[in-house]
Amino acid sequence: MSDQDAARGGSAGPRGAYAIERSRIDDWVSTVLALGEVIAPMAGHGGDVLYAPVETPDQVLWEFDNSLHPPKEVLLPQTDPLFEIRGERSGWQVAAVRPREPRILLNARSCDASGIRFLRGVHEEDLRDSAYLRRDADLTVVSLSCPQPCSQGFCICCDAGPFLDDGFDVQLTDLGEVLLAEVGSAKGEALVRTSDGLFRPASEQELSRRRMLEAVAIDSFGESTCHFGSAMRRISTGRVVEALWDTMSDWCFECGACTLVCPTCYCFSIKDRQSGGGWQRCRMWDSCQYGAFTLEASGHNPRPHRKDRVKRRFYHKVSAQYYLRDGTVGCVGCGRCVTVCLGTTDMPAVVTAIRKGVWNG
Amino acid sequence: MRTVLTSCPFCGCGCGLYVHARDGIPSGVAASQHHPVSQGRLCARGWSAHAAAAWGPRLTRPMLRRDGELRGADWGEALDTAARGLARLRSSGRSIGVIASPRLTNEESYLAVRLARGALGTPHIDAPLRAEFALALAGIGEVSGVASSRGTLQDVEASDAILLVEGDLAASHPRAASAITRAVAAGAKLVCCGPAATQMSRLATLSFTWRPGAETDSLAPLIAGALAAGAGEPGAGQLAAGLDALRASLAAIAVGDQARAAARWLVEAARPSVVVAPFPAAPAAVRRVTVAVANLAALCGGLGRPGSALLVLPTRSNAQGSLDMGVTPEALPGGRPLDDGGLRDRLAAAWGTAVTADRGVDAADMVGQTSGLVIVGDALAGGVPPVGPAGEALSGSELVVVLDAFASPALDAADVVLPVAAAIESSGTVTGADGWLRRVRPGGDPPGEARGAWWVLAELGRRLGLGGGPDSPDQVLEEIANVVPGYRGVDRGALDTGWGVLLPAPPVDRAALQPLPAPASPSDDRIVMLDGVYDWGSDPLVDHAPILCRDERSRRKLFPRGQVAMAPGDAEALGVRQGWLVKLVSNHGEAVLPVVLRRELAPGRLSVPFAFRYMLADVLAGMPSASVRVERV
Amino acid sequence: MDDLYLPRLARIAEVRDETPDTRTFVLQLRDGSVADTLPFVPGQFLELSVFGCGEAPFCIASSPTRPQALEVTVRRTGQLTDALHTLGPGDEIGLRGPCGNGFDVAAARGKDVVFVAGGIGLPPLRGLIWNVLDERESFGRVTVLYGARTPSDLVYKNELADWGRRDDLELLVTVDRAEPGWEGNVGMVPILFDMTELQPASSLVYVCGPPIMIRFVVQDLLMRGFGEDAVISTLERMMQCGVGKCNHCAIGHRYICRDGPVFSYRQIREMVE
Repeated sequence: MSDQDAARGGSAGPRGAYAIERSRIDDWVSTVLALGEVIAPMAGHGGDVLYAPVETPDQVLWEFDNSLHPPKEVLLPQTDPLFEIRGERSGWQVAAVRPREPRILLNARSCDASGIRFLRGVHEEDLRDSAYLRRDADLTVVSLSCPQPCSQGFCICCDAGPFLDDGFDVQLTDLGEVLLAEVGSAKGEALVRTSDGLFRPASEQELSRRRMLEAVAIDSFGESTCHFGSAMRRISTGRVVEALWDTMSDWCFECGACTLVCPTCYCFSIKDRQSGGGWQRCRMWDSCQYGAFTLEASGHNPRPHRKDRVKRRFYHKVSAQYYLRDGTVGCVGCGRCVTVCLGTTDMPAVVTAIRKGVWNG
Repeated sequence: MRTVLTSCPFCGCGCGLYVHARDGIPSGVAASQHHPVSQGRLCARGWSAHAAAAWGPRLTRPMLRRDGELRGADWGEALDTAARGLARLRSSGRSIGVIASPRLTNEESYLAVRLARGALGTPHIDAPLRAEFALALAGIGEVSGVASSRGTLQDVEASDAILLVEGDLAASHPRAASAITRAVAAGAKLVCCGPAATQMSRLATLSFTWRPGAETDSLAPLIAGALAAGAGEPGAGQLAAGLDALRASLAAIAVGDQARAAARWLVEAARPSVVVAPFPAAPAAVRRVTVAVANLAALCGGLGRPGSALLVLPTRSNAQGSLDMGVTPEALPGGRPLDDGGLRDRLAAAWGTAVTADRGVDAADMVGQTSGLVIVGDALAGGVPPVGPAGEALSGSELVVVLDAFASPALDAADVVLPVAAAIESSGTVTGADGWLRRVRPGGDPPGEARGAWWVLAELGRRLGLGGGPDSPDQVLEEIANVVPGYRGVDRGALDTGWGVLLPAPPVDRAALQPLPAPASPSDDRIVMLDGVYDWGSDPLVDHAPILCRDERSRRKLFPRGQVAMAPGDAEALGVRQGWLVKLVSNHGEAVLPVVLRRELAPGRLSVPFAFRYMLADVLAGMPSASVRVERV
Repeated sequence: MDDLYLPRLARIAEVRDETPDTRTFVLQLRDGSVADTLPFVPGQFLELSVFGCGEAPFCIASSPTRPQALEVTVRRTGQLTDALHTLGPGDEIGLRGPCGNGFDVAAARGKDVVFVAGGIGLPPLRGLIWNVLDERESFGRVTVLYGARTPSDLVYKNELADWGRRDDLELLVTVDRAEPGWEGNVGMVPILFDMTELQPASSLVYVCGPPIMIRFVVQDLLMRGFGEDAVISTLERMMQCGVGKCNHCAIGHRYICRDGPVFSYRQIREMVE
């Protein structure tokens, strides 16, 4: 593990807490802008929110419903050129195209910060994907805690929000006149330190207000929950009747959106794209929900039916086998799949159906 | 990274999405949560909207055929050659056709019409897949007096009863399928009609499968049932027109329990909606079907009632706008009749030239039969009847000018190749089936020397004597807003600040119910039909997108001799098994294909994927279905 | 390896036609010897790149006991293999690997080893066969049973002739359909079981071939008393990354490219999709 990787120790927990006056936030964003590219939630068209590089502090949104498009795009672009390939059949040159640059993801919601932690895990697991991990190490994640559940979110069921204990470099909490900045790593520490004079140590009163806000937020979840426990038992032991998968899969239109916008999904394909006089080898988003995802060159397809693919998605996300490997369910409770699903086979709906043994459409 | 909001280039639903570009290359898509059509929901195609432009075989410089080979040329040379050749054909009185893709923007479509009816003086202007769409709208118009859709997908999603007429909506228009599915999940009744069982028919409360050739026979009981349930009784106002004739035409129709129930749901619904998606049927049948569903919509109060939609979904993104701009051999812009002298004068004034207002020929009849042919965009892909391997079909033309973003078989016959921006790189506007005018913004830069099709069409027009300009798509839109009926005075500012502009829909004040044709005589014929009139693999935007193309490619590889699906019972009766060859013999010709078994097919019904339509060309003779005799080989 | 997806470059040293649609490519690494920089065990595979076309996995068909070159035997089945077949000596391709678990050669030492291959299933076993032959004294009886559709579909014809002449190896070959001049066995691979003496108690059997052939062969072997752990096969799935990340080849929580492609029949049976 490199120093930079170690710097964001997942289990280390907050190292210190600071406070910044709300009126000085733009000054802080200005200092952060000088450190590297800052990706933050911005206003898109007609109320849409998009994570994109910002140029000035006033572009950054501080109160917003989470972006439908996950900021995982920052680490895993939909099309990600890995190498430039130049030459011809008798001789080739292959060179990596990833420049290293410090970047800051500002105001990631708790679920999305948790998603980034999850993705770090799968890229560290078994063979280390060092190119991804370098990019991850170059990114400082400033999360923004959620004082209220969002409309579709169920992060409390996934231990991924509304407030985080770890998995961030800095966690901001809006306390009104001040913002609380909890530091979770050396990278986070650096981000707060470089802004000398803007931050002061947080008071006990501020910390206790943060705890109170968290408790209120947790209390407000109401019905928007997703009970993984019994669904996990059934999926892991193959005790979901086939007829239920059959019925549910009729309500899926194979758009793949559930996986594309999922903060924990990372299925991909590798393809060569023409570029100038040569080629770029690209890693691109793919989805296990697409029929041809498992199609073999021979024409054989081990998951020929939509049912097989819906089943696969929930096995990967909710089975005990993967839970043991990843240390968590493959879900951060962001609720994006509820919004983007062309049909109705989103995470809470399917988990509920499996738990109850019936599908309600 | 650059991010722009634009409209999806695939089907006619009109979804909005953001395209990310890196180094000017479209590299990803983000859904727009608040876009009124898509509301954050995109289908697999929408999620790959960037891909064809980035991965396809792009045309990057103009080319001219010299000594039998296409060779690079500069823009001036290529445009001059195309214009000179076309002018020569025109002055010698030879025929010229213009086929314009229904994916072009309104501005590009308008300029294509200006090129044809203005600069080239030819009435032969058409878009592939236009005929089916226009016929469906015409059927609606026969009843409502207005040949256009009404309402939006949002209305459909909020409906409490929906009639869906489809080939396979889940495949052709997944976003519309989503609207209906959400409605069903919320408790709406769904009644499905079509030639085969589909994913939507499995979600339906009730579904009816029709026999190709007898489509309206399965709709007639619904209409009779609606009348029996009290629709059309006094109080229905203007809708009483034609009621007696309709009643008379249904006198012999028996209404079964299912039809009675389905009709009652539609009649009693507060917000009934009707959705018509492409289905394989003969052109006349398309019109008969939409006349029937428009009758039903009128009887149920689904014409003009707020919240009730009557939507005809076209296969391609801007089919509606293309039709509105006049890309059709049978009407002027705005759908106005060819003899509308006032409009002709206004167009002539705007174009600075006389306007040809004859009836032209359809796209399929232009191919290989006009001396000159201008092909704009992916115009030869996916049409019914199939245009066939393009190089061959086009060889009858003396001069073929191709404006396209991608290399296609048409290049084999092209004399001049003019590289243009892909749909996702274009600027301008498109019009949805729901009557909304929306912005299309460039999600990337066209590669190499490729230019926007609007610029190429404007330059060709200039070289053919149309004077200067336009200098931008916005200037074209300004002209459209001045002369095209239905688009006059559109608020161009609102296009940018809002999600688009709802074009004014003419009022339904001349509605008249239409009688239904007599039922077809019962038949035991086996019928072979194309499996949906829409097929992903026939769409170049699918074919060039690496994640989307895999299914179709493999299907073709797995079945190099094509395939014909039949019900297991039929196969047993014929004594054939999966993979065995059968010969299909129609009045027109025959074809031999291997059998695959499909449980959902009705007995006597055979189905061939659209992708294999060439193999069935002799049997179908240009129609999407035919009666056949089946023999074991 | 610093970057999981960065291919190394290799030169095609030699191309041998095996059947009308199958060729063996002999590869030399551009930047080091196989023994020093690409240590592998039989049964592992390589991700080969034809630049501009893409990448696909191929079993290493040569043995680590002969590390002068790497060999892969490729049948034309799609875009990438078509492109590979257009390349000849002197041309360069990209290469990543070795990937996958490979065969546990140590576990076979001291035992009788039986190889059962169908068609293009012989190449993945060939590396192991040569490994066994090169360390012949460590193993008991060696039996190779090989079947193909027709005599012209048999790969490694010269090698088969050599093996047939060896007295420390028993080779039996069969074809589904004979062609003029074929005097050997005709029938599916399992007919060969009765022509040799199988010793279920002391043997490991390595089976490779088309899925349907594997199914019949394994059924037959189990009936003849072989244990589920003694029957070893390889699984094929659509693969992209080859390093356990992309998820294309997952069966349950196992990845064919990392946990496989070599599995015992017991492991295969216990996998849940």
